[in-house]
Amino acid sequence: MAADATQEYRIQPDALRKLCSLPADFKHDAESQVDPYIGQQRATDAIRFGIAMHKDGYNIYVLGPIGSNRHKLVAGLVAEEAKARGVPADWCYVNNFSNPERPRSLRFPAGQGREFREDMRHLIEELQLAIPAAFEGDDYRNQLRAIEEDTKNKVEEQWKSLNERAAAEGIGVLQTPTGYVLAPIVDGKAIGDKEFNKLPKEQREQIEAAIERLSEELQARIEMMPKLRKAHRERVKALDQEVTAHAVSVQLADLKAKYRSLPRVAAYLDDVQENIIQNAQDFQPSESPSLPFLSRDSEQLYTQYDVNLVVDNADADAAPVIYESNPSYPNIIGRVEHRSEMGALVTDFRLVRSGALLQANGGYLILDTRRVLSRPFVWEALKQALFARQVQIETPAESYGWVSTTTLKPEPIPLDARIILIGERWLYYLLCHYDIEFSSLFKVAADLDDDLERNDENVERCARLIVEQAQAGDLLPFNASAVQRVIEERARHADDSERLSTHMSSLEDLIEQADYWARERSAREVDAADVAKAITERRRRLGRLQSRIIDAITRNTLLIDTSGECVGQVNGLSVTDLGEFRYGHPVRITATTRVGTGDVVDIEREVELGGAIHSKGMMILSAALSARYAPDLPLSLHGSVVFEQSYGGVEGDSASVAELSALLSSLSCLPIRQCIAVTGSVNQLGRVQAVGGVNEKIEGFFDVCSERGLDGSHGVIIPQDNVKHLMLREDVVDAVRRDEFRVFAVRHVDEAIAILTGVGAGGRDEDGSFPEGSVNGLVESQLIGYATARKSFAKEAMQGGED
Amino acid sequence: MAKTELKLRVVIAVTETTPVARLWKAALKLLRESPADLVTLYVEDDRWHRVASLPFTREILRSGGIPVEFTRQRAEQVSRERATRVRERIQKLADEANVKPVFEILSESDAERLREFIGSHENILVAPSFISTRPIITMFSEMNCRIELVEAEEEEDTPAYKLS
Repeated sequence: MAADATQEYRIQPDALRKLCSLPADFKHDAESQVDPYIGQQRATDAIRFGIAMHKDGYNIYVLGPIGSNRHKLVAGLVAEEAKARGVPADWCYVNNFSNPERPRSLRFPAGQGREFREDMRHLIEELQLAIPAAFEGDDYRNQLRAIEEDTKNKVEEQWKSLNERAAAEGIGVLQTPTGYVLAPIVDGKAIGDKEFNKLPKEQREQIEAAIERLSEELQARIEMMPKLRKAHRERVKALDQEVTAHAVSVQLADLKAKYRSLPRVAAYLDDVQENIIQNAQDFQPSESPSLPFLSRDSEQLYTQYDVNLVVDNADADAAPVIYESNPSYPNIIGRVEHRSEMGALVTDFRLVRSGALLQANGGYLILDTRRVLSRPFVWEALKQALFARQVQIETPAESYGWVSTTTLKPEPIPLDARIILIGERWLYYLLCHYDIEFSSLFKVAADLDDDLERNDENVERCARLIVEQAQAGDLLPFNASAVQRVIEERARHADDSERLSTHMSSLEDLIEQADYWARERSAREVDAADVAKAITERRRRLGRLQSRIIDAITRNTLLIDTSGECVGQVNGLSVTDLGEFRYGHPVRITATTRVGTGDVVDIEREVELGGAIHSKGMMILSAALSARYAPDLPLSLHGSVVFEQSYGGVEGDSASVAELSALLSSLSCLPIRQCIAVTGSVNQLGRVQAVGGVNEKIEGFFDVCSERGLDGSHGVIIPQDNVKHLMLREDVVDAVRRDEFRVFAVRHVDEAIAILTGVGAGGRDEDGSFPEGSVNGLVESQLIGYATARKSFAKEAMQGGED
Repeated sequence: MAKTELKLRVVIAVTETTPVARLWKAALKLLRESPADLVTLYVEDDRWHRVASLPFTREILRSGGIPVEFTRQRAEQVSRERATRVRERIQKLADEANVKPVFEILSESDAERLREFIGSHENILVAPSFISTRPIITMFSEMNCRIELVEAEEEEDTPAYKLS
């Protein structure tokens, strides 16, 4: 094949990098803002649908890579809807007087929760003054005194009558510290046994009988005392309640009227009143100090009427949009805090804390999927809340029944929040696959596009977006050349000259860094050179490994020939992806062939360094070989292919054209030109198919060749279908333009082998034979030779067996 | 042989049913008039022992009205408790007045010790009026002691029945 025969496969410099050309009069009109969700129509429509769909389960999962401005996009869209949705209710927890372990939840129209809390504080302040004042009033004291006098009189009457009856019978009632002793009295003096025995027998018997009788009467009166005491206490209590009721009802009347339209609140106020009245004695001023742990202090007495405002929307002007960056269980569900008292942990309704679900109630909660899934218990708790449509604040230990100690179980609060999960695609598909409940809870998938079509309209929108971003970021203005250069880089980022990347953080990074370099040279505006500098510098910062590989190649540590010819050896191209940075470099692929049984050994696969797709590529090229040559004969070949000096895994089928070329070279004994590298996959019919990372691969080989010196012979063969993806560096394009480097596009492996060997591949003629001396002719001839040799070897073996 | 000068002291005579505050006040007034020692003489009432000697005496407990045997030991205990109560009340008043009285317990039935007690000092006796006819007053009077009777009625240290 003549050298100029490759001309038809050469790609013209203009096709290696599709330049951006903005209208000469391009100027961004600051008044017409660009749609910030450029290229994300599908995703934005999905999000708008999800947030406007007020049915269960229409929670949203936003699928997109990190850096695609997922949060900004979601926050912007949700904020629009939040304004329309209106401010949701406030929620409070208050004491449940009949069951303090189950605090009661109260719902208020937005802003009234705070008002209610203040009203209750004011009420308590008033009661702290009003109730003691009522008890200190003359009216109360007089009534109390009257009750005490009355009771005292009743008691004294009992004792007086007993004493009188005893005295009449010559018996005295003596008081000991713990009781009473009935003793005979003679001359006003209790007598002893000596005096008693001197008395006449009849008198002694009378005394004993009287003491016996009086003892029974005394016992009866003693037994009556608790009844008198109880009656007294009840009368005092009734008085206290009457006094308290009057004080409380006066204070509560306005409050009850104010919250009449909220039945649960009104019921709570009734309970407050009832509770205060029932415990009226607690509100009386204490007459004697007591040990602190034995009495309810006044603070505790009044704090039981506090209001724990767990959701306060008083200052909101729209539905809440909450982003919880740390979605731990307490931060999402809420928690019940404890405080230490006398060495014990205690809690009450005032220590109930709401989580993000309640804060977002009536609005939107945005969460990062990865974080939600990595925090213990959160995913299950979140699903539980969504299914139950209510938030039950409890600890995970309680939820799972791991603890049996008594703690609070606040009343659940109805949940009406739209959950928006943001995460990578693979997490979405994993959840769909492994969590059968996921799909029913997250019915809306908002899949962010990675790129958009590079048409005039989108280019202009993108250009305006760049200008806006620069303005928003307080950067130097970007002139038209800079904008064009940035847009070209968007195409490169998309790996496609006909599309533009929508990855926003990389765009922001680029324009910020271009601004930096413009400022470095004290420019007033950013131009294309600053953008190019930003790209180059970034590549340099991240390119240490690439430099090491080029260095290893130029020092012949990694054996890569970029000149000369060699049979069975070809330069393939590989791409290494470091996440933030990708680079390409050549790899030597060699093939050997001999007579065999039709197997092509992939050494990478044999040692388990080859991935499944690579193995598949190898099998396809084996099939292509057997289908194409000497179809009437068994394939009597043993071939082996290997990536030389490759010590890591090999994956992908992009080297299958190179591997097939090495095999054909080995079979035909035609040497391959080492100044040319090749990439592309091949199907069973020999058709060359597109591969990924084509730009990096070309640039990788270009860098190695440049290091050694470009002489016009160097070039890269790529699949024709990859031409549209070309967005090569300017220096590569310039080298091609100077005819120092070439890029070939091929559709069939015949075209590739012809360029690589300089010999035409050759097609079958009318007789079905390949032209003599063509690559295919030589290959087929060799394979026929192998088949003949194998046949004769088998024949000899059989004869040897008969002998 | 020269007559020995006896040291002056103020003796407050109290019983288990004496309201001590008024007596204390009168005693302090006397101390201010003439420096003297202060002695509280608790006149033990042996009525508990007498009552306990009767075989049929029972103590009916205030809590529940249960009758229990009133033994001599119980009588002794009641008597001691009463004395202790009075002593505590006196001590509290003494602490407030910053004086240190001596506390003596004597029984009226033990005339010899009582006489010995009276004879050891020159005494001013402060006593409640309701014991004016009791032997102790007679004895102080016979031994030429000055007697200041303070108007007072007997009171039980425990109310007949507490309301709370």
